[in-house]
Amino acid sequence: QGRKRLIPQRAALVLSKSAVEKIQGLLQEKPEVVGLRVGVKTRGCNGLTYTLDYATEKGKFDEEVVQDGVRVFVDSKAQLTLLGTEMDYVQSTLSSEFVFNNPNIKGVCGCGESFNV
Amino acid sequence: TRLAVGSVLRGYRLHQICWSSPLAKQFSASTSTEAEATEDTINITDSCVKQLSRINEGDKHLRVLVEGGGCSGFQCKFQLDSQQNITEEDRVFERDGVKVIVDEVSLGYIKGATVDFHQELIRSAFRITNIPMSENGCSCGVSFSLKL
Repeated sequence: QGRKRLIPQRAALVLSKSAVEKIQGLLQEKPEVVGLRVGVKTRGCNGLTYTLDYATEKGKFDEEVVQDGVRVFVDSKAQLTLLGTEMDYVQSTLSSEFVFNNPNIKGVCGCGESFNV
Repeated sequence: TRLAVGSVLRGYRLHQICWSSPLAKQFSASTSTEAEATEDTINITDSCVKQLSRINEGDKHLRVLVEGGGCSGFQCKFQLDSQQNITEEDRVFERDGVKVIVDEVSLGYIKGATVDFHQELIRSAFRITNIPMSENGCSCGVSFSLKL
């Protein structure tokens, strides 16, 4: 009682325009899916890598980010590492991938695949 | 600093191999050209063929390069290259109308490997798998080191 409720000042995750469009496309293909879930996993040479899955429901402690009608859940374990990250979708002729521009990371491994905070 | 020293050493080693291998090739070429031709192949998966024929605009082929880099020493790079850029040092592997170009030096590292187009939710990209000459590589699966 009397304890202030913490209200998030800004979205935990910001989606770029191309990411929103791509996710919209992905969600239309699968009607049973509500959104995508972003998480981190201990893997790679430098600690952590990002994971991305389809989410059929909101997890208990997930942070929900809604932007332009697109729903993305941030896994509870990933919230601290992902705070303030911009999620972008980069497409070229040879590859297409989701890229996370994370201001919290201290270093990435030589492959650019894993990172530490 | 340990990392820096390691990468310098690795770079040096790569340099050595790069310089010595064309010579070695010349020596062995005269004796066992046919045996090598059957051995030095690159496998191309169905998904790779599919993706290549999908993006095949204006007669472009996939070029695979091996470079020093990544956490484990070597990294593969992919480029689109046109027919006229194929030189004498290149080997061309063809399957179902799509071509994969590998230069001789790079082929020395990745012969017998498989070129795959891997599709995931987070990323879809070309990758090299099952490199017979590599050790288990870095845990990200992006770079690899050689069995020496």
